Amino acid sequence: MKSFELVRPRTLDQAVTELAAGGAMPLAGGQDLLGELKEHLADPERVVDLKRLEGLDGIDVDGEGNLTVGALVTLTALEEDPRVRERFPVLAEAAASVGSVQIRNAGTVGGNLCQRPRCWYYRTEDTPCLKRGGTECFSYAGKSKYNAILGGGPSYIVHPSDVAPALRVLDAELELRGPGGERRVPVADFFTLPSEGDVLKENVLEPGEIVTRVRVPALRGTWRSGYEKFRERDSYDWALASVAAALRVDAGRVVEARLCMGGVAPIPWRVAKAEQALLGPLRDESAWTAAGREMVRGAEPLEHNGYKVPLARAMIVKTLRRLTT
Amino acid sequence: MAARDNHGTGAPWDDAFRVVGQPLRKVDGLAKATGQALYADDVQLPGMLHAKILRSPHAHARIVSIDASAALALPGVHAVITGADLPIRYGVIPWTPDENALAVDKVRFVGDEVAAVAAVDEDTANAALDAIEVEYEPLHAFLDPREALATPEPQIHADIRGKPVRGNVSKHVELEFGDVEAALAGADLVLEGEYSFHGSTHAPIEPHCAVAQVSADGLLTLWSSTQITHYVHRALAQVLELAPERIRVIQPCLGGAFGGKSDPFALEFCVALLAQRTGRPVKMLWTREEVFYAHRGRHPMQMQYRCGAKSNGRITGVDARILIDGGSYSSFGLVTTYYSGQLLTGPYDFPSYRFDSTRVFTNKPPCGPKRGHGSVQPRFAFEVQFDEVAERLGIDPIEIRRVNFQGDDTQTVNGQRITSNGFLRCLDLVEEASGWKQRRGQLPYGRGLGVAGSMYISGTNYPVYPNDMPQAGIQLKLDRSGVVTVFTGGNDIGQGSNTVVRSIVAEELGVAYDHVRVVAADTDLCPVDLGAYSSRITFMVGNATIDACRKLRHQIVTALAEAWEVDPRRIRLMEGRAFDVEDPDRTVPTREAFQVAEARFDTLGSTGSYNTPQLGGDYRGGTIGASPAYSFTAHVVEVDVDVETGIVRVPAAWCAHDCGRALNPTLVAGQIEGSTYMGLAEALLEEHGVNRFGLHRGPSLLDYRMPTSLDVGDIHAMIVESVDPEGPYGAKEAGEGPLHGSIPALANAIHDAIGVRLRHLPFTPGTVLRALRDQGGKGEGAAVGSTAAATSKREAR
Amino acid sequence: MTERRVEEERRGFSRRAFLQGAGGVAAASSLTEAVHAAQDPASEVQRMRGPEEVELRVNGGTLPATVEPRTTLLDALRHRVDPPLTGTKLVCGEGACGACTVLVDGRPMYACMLLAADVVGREIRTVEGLADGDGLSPVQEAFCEKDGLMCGFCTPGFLMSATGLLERKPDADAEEVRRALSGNFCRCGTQPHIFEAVAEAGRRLREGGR
Repeated sequence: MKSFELVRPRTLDQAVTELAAGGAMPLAGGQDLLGELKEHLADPERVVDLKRLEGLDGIDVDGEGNLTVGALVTLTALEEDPRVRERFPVLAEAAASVGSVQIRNAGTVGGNLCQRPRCWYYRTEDTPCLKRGGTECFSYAGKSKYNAILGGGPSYIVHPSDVAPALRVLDAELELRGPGGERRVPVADFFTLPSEGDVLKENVLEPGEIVTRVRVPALRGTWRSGYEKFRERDSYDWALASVAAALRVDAGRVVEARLCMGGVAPIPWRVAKAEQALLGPLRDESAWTAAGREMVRGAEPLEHNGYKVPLARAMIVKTLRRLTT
Repeated sequence: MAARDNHGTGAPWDDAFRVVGQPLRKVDGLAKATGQALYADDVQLPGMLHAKILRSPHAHARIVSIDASAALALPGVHAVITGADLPIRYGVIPWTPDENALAVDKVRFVGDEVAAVAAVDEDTANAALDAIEVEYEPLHAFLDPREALATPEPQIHADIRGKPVRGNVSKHVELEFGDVEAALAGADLVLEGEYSFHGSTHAPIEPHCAVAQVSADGLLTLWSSTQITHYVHRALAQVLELAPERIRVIQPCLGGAFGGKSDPFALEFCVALLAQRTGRPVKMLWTREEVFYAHRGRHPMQMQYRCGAKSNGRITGVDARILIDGGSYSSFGLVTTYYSGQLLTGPYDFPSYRFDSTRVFTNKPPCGPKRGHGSVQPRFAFEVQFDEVAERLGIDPIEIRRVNFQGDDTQTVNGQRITSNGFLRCLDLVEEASGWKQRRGQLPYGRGLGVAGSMYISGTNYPVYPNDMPQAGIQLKLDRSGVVTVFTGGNDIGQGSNTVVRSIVAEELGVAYDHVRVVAADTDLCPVDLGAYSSRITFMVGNATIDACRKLRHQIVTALAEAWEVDPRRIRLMEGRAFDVEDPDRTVPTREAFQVAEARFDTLGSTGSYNTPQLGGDYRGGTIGASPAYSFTAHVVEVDVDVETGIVRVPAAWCAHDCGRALNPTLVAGQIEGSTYMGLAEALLEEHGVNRFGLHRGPSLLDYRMPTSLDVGDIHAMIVESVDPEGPYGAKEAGEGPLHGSIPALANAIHDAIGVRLRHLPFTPGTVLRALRDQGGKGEGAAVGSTAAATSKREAR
Repeated sequence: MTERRVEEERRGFSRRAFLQGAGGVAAASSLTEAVHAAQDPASEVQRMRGPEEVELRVNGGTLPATVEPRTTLLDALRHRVDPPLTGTKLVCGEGACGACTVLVDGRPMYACMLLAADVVGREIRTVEGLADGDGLSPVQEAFCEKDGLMCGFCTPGFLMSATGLLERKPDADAEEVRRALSGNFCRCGTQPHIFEAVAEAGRRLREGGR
């Protein structure tokens, strides 16, 4: 790790000013940032510690059932919160599936959303990976086992966040704060494909801008939601394919469906046609299969990740089987 | 001369063991549980410098020039060394000295060591590495062993010990026992198949670390995380051109090795030379990434097997052809190449057998000995093929293994002497415990049971350098205080060998367990021992310990008998006391007994040693793999294959292991569990490989996926005690044998579960999904709804 | 892109520095300009630019340590407090193994993934703080008795994870134990004995141990 200046602001204004000055990176739980610093993937002059900022470490549910989660809330706190578990199980389950116990105890919700890719070419310091300013995505012709089957090109990373797909099916919004002030961005618009934005970034954050809060609107009606994560080992690993699902159920029928996948694309992958396929009788295996088919439509596997196509379909079936049983 | 079988297998006093067989705590358990245990990286010396190594970014290149002047000019940098400073080549096997501490002229893999620096701190050392200018001329890099075999130029190694190397072949062994072709021709069934074993690495939790200090009188002391102190001692003397009596090597507490700390490593030579050059203590701690480059892990092997059998299941002959990917250096590769064939000839009777093994060099991290050295890969291939033989012949897989049992007190087709053999009992135990008879074939689709058998050596009679001296030595010192100090060159690497030594001494001399101190793995203090490899310590060091104890016991008993004026046969030493068995009121604490003996015989001490008898077939290589005793193992593994995602889970595994007499059943169980865990881990998750540039594809514990506590199923360890005539009290090995069968048993269980034969490791979800698809739509059908498919497994088969 | 072009690019790229260790062991780097922390009272933005003496609350006491902004808690514990607390082990340096697990305000965390300056004021417990004058903690005692250790290098981390679990939930069931320990690796594979040890420690704690 190279030397840096550790800056500890007390107010959000100070924080964004420090961050916007350039050469600075934000520190929350540090579970991704320290890895980046140690591997020399990032060498900031200043690290801006956000943990002294007030009011960003709470979980609140208002009278109408709307949930607000501060960006500094740890994944453990989110996982253990009884209100989250009861009303938004998909979010609690997603938080519980992150990393390991120790990572969840230190890691934050904001950090989980903003973490950098895990592709091993990106994480290898001397590979001139596209996402670090190089010219080529090495996974394209290289070891692509863990890379994207959907939405890839020119970079084929998958977004590693588990919390993001869960928030996506909850139609959450993110509260951002930057030098230009505060703005709200739906999770749907927060993450960017490499082909449509800056390939060096995974989201719309501007220089100096940080995520401050997550706002999840109350779910009206009867909902079933859950998060299923497929990984090679049951701790530490990122998703090879994960499914966040939320179904509104009325009189034995699915009347609204939201389905989002993690681990298959550079952004949380949500497909409207897949959701439409689920409308109808609650337990309908053919609908699950159809949803799976729609979800991976257009998939373009690389040399070593073709298995993710049947895997993604299978995970959708598994998730829906669980939620409708 | 070393006594090997003079002690019998019984308890030293009367009929019952008092210490042996008890689940006693480890000697060092308390230190480890309180954070007090001292490992190499915990050694801090005044004025200590920190050393770092510059590594090659190229898989294969000629070094045109190295300019370290800018690095040397940096404030805080004390020394920079390169290959020119350590030009003498070495190899852990003296016949294949092809390594340099730092590269001379050429680099042979990404990560090969090029230069080393010593500086006041790690930062300065790293800055110095950046300042070293190396000009390379890249050469064609061989990443595929088939290409390396077929392409003689450029040669990765041109010569070893002045002998020209043939192309890129590291070692070739072809041996035939009996007439295999005739045997196959006479078989009712001949199966032929291709199998492959990927690479895996040890990933010991403790990274390699070494600290060197040179005293005012020029004595070099090295603390190193090695599992073979003696070989490091020899190699240092050779490479540093320093008289061995000026070198002391100490292994502090060691954080796991599994074969990965058997070779002498660059860091040991570098800190030694840097300490000499700077006059200050020097430490080098490798990062986790560097541990992956150090490697010496499991060799990838491509294996073709033919097996002939009669319709009653009896094997007629086995024919193997094996291509071994050695990586960039020889390491133990000569032995690996022999082991790939020599260790398959049990527990089944092979009337005829042939193997043709070729190890080639490639531009990848060097392979070496990983737990179950050289024989885990062939065992996988053979046991999977054997399972298929059983299937084709309609014989229960456990039954066919019984049918071919070679028996005890026999000799294998390749001339290995088998003494005790508890394999049948192992089969019985795993069959019973797993519910094999009731459950196999009755489980729903996706779940299954598989079996495999195996054998392994308890040390080998072939030391890596030929000599007539003992392979294990022990010194004992008795103190008037009642303490017995044991000096052993054996390396406790977490397996508990010091605890075994302590138990034997407590048993033999009747002293309280905690009155025995064990001083180990310090070349100045301890007699030479060949270290922790080939599962040799319990057998060899155990025998040497008994040997040393019996000499002292004789003195103590004689002195007491004289003092008490009784027949020495009436004297007992037990549980901290000496007494007259016919007059139990006549008793003294062992402390006083020691004093009586010291008065009678002067200062009390003794030595003990062990050497193997002459073993092995009378042919070139016949002694490699010849062991004074073999352990035998049977595994049953249960799998739960998710046919939708392809993931294979192991809810339970049963391993019955014949370790002879279990000197400490807790430690034996730990070895059985740890071995089985490690085998299942490399079969399902772990993969050590490089990308197309020869760069390790993921040199971190995030990318090298070891199973977590959520991924490890219930491993049931069962101990079979076929008391061996030559083992210490009848003991044999337990540390490596119980790994072998776990992998083929897993493959065979997957076949039982989903009807797919997996012949190529590892069994990742993608592999399993593809196999299901290739099976012809069965998998796709199953993937739609597992509940529907669940009932159809038995009908389909 | 052809392999050849990739290879050419590679060569042109900066020399591989490899993962260079946890950074700055022992004495302050001679290359680092030591600048003492400055406090700007007007803005209340704290700035730490170089080595600075902080006080760490460790095992119930207060330990001074001179740390840089980048110094990890692991580095501080092993090398910058007196006496050095070397029970906590460096294995991977990237939060991937659990050997450096310590309790921070009662919760297990990786000391290699925390900045020392960042945990000032928080209660840190290490393996050295488990035993007290009365002897081993129930978790330590159970690990010894059930042989929940082999090479011992991962043991301090396991002890801290197990302690973190059992102090909050002494009646944790087998599944909860497995989950709580899933951020720690035992490469010797003695998990069955570790699970047994933690179960035994839980029993002792419930029966009124410490």
